[in-house]
Amino acid sequence: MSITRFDEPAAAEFRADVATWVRDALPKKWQTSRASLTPDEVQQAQREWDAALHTAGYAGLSWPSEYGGRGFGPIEELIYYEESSRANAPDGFGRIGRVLAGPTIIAAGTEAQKAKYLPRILDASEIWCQGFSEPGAGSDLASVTTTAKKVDGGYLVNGQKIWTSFAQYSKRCLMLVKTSSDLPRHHNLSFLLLDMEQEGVDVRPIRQINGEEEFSEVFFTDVFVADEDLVGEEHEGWRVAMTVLSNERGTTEAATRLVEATAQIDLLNRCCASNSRLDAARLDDRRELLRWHILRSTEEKAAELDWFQAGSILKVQWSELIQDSTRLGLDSGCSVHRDYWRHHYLASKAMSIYSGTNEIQRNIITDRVLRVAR
Amino acid sequence: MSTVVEEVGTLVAENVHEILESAAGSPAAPNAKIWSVLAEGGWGTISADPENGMELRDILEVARISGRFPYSTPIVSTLLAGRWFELDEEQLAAGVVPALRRGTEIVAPYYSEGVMVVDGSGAPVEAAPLSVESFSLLTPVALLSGATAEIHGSQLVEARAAYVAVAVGCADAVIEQSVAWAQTREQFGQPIKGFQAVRHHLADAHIAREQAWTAAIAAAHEPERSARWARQGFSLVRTAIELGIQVHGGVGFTWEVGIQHFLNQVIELDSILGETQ
Ligand SMILES: Cc1cc2nc3c(=O)[nH]c(=O)nc-3n(C[C@H](O)[C@H](O)[C@H](O)COP(=O)(O)OP(=O)(O)OC[C@H]3O[C@@H](n4cnc5c(N)ncnc54)[C@H](O)[C@@H]3O)c2cc1C
Repeated sequence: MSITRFDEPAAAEFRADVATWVRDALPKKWQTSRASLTPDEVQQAQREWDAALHTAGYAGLSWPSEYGGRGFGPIEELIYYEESSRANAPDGFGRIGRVLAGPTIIAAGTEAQKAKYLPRILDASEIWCQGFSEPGAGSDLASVTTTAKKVDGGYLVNGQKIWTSFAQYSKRCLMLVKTSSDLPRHHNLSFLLLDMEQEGVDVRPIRQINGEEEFSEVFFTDVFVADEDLVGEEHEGWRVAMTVLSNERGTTEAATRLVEATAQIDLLNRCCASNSRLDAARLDDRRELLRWHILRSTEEKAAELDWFQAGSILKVQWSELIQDSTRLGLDSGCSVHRDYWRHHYLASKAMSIYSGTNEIQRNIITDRVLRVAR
Repeated sequence: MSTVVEEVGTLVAENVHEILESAAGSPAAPNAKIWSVLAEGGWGTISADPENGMELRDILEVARISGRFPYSTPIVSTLLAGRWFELDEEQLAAGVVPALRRGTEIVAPYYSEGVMVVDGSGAPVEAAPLSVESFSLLTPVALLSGATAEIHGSQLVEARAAYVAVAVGCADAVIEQSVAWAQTREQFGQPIKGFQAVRHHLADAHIAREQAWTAAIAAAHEPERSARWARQGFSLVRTAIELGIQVHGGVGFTWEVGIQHFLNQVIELDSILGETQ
């Protein structure tokens, strides 16, 4: 039985356990000199954190126990993220696997797919990426043109994906591909699990405005995917993709972003924003509001209330909060942390773009929450 | 306390909503008749009886509904009074409104026959009723202003949460009205609901309203931060209402369309509660 309310005694116990564990498990270097770590050191810390999470059983908190998870619900997930946020813990490297690939396979995959993939998602020994966007299909995701042609025993994939995060580190890719040129829109796509370490996959990292190369363009030339790696029905991949996107925009994603916002706003309040206390205090209020909005949405989700609308609001909220925080950091002109803020300010520019731009989130709210027909 | 409402809260809110909706004339007119319907249904006394299990979170639900009908009845102050003070059924059924001390004079912001006026300790006071015009400037929340010294901290916290919830109800009403307006008003030969700038204003109003609701709930949970939550909640509601005015265009700026009833109530709640620390 998982916890359904934050005021249950079990929630307090769980919180205490997590807090103790996080405090003990956190890499020392991360605790003491986080702001000055190089990108490589950050990545190293993230990988170590992935491993620690798995060993301690915190990797699949809300996954069913038959798939190696703890069988808990959204409340435990959130408590974990709250406590790790309080302790300024890193964000793991296996997150796309844990938050997107795993839950999608659990919800829509076959037993064979679950057995094959889930264990290595949990221990982060296989990193996953998400191959949805294409040069001609961003916000208009249903227009993807990368094709998967039916051949004996599987499919041959041809085409190009772009903005694929972590592609160069990834063993596997969640792919949305076109499998029919006749069927109507939204019923012509399929969802595949593709092995990135094979002939015909060409990953070319793209340099980002912050100098990092986190995303790539990926070219596929006659890349084979076996029938067993089709998720859901053929041509019904759009439905599966929507599951992924609802996870991406959900409460746990928001909670990981709370980790980031917390670190930044604390730094503003502690040091950088000494000349703009009021602005920093307002950001702190918004951070607390985000925390409570996540709590509320999580309890509504645990109570199986209609929480659908929460995803878009959360996404707009966390992305704009982090953007405003890093902007204040940059504007504050704090010489000690100038590089830190420049880095995070630039990185934050992506947040209103990925996992559905904030304009698209606003469209979703008017279309599907307020239900104003066009 | 959970952030999620219990069944009792939903039930009371639904019933109160139905009664307010069927009886309400102008949203701004205090209406003794509506109150008598509510009181006869027992909705005014429901928070006083522990058997009913009505918690603060449930009162927030009712407060939000009542915000759609600003100033119409003393339901929120009565539910809070039933929770705080030892008042008998008859007193509660009369409706409880807060006393406001204005200089040496004690006045009641709610103008209606038979309504009981209490000070911050719950003791009935002799009060001079205000006129309807001045009424709109002094909402039931004056309870907190005139008698702050006599209200102990937890009551103030609860009142803050409840009145932010009232403000969220104001935003609900304005957003509903704005959505309806966007669907019928035509420009350039088409309903303005098709223009994305308008649609995004509505989306932003919705986001602000939902955030304000979170602030109300958080205020009920975090006494030490409740003043901050109230300020933030009122400000977010104002954002939602401002966007509603913008979506209406010139009509939104008219007294006749009535958005000012909601905006004024929020401004008053904010200024009165804003003074309390
Ligand atoms: C750092 C980063 C990481 C990413 N990682 C991944 C990944 O791992 N996997 C993956 O598949 N994708 C990834 N993406 C891609 C991301 O999902 C897309 O960039 C996003 O969906 C927008 O698509 P686009 O870039 O083609 O922009 P476009 O869709 O061309 O949008 C351009 C502008 O037009 C606006 N616009 C478009 N349509 C509308 C509309 N209907 N109404 C209002 N405004 C509109 C947009 O909001 C935007 O401002 C990543 C992107 C970034 C920046």
